[in-house]
Amino acid sequence: MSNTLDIRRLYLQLPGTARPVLAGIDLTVAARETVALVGESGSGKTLTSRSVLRLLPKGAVARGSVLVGGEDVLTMAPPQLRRLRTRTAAMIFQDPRAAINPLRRIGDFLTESLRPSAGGDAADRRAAAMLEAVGLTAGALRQYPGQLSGGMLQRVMIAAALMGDPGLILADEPTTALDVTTQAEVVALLGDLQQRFGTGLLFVTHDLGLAAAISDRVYVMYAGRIAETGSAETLFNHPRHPYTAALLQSTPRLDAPRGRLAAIDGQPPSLREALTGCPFAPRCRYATAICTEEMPEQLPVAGDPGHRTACHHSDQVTVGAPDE
Amino acid sequence: MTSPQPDPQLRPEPDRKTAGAVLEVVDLRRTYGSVQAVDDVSFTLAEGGSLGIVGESGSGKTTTARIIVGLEQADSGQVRVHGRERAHHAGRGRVQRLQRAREIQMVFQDPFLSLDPRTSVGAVLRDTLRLHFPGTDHARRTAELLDQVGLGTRESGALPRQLSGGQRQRVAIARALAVRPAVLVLDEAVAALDVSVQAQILNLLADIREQTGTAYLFITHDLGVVRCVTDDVIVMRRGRVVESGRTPQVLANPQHPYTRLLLDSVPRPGWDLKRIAAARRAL
Repeated sequence: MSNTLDIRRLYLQLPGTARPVLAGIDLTVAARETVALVGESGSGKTLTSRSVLRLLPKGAVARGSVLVGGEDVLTMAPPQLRRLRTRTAAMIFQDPRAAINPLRRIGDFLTESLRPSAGGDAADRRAAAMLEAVGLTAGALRQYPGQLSGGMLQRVMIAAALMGDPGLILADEPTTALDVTTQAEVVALLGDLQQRFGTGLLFVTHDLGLAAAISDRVYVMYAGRIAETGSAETLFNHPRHPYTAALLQSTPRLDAPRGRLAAIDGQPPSLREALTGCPFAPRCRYATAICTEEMPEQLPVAGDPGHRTACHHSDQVTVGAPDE
Repeated sequence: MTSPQPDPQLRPEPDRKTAGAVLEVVDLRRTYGSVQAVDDVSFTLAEGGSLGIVGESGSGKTTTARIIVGLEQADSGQVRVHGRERAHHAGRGRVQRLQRAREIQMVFQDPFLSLDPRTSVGAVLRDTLRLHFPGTDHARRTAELLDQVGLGTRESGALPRQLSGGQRQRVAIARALAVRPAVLVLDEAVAALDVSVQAQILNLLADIREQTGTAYLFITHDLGVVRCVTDDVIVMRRGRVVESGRTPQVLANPQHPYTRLLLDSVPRPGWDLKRIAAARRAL
């Protein structure tokens, strides 16, 4: 069976930059699978998820392929692209208030994409059903965004994403703007719905703890590349890329020792400078001469076929689990 | 660090200075219409100490901070710095305002909004110093402040938009430290930063507290951050303090169901979402 989402060797170059902002991304999401894409600002995680709907910045040049249900999004004709965006795949953004027209009722917002093809009555019925699926009542159809709390509005956004019965949901930091207890509720809801509707979920987040808590597999991005990928459990407890390990250690956690954090010095490389070696080398405690000269290939970790890392010294990376 | 610190649960006496306390907050109340935003909030912050206020949106943590700094007025209650009521020099005159500002400084969540986009880093610091300490050597102090927050002379000439988020937050911290405040109020000051940068700033704040003895009031929703940077913590919900105590004890052995819910809600592998949902309904 083919994957719901299959990104192969995706490169993306923006005008006026010295290196591609995405440099050879390989990523898959299967049906019913939750995949987390983790990275810091500028790592390219949001661009990767947006490329799935071909929502690319002006002047961007893409190479490679982005297959959704076997069809390449990058070469799709406009009618197919419209169908992809309204039916096959749906996106949930971080800030629900920025993604919804405050002057229109929730009902209008939910049904606008379905109305032309399915008709008004069918769209209304579907909207009421989806609101109930996310734990709201059909009464919300008549309400305005300003009358709902952030958590309720994010539920509306999830209902909107489900309207076209998509095979794939792209969620870009969907809980970052929410309180922690609300976050837990929204995540539980996403998981339930995904199982019920058989959807694949690509969950973009900066929070490695959240990624480990909710996903089957995790991709860690750094400077436009996949630094490491594997099962959530493996990456959280036995990272094989220094960046993943450093990210874990610099997160203030409840189960780690108190006191100073192991901060990662320096900053990610700028898009204005070309890269010769490993993009993480200047900040890496394992870096040697080869790291600045040669870009590391992404290779499988021995004994774990699903675990891949792009590091010259991956066998030396030992830090990780707090109990070790 | 070795001096005995008062239990924050201990309510300060109405007219006496609590020994070793730099900031005392007594029975603070603030209503907006029918909403009790801050309801009977009291705590003390030890000299050179670090106190966290944890809560979700609507808990009243930010309103409490804003009252303490003087950006909002309380309906009733007292805020004392070094045993002196803030309201005693509440006048609108220049001298009183500057005096108030030297007691407590604030660092906000978004340094991009709290810095003037047209003023360079060095000028921000020089303006502050000129206002508060006329006739002193500003060049030396500016260099000292930049060094303290880990910025170089190169950043001194930069405008806010030429800096990264972490660098901008360093500037905001340097500006706050310029007046040598007794208390630094940090309102979600690391919430908008990337994890690796956040760790740099948290370490920087720990160093600065050690070097200067500035006391911190740390407003945050992040229990990991609280654990990392505070000695004491109060947990707020709907305007009220529901639990308080030494940070390690509160986090290891929470007494209030709401504190337990907050702790359970922190995402981690093996997260029990059903239990969180049940606990949330029960509250």
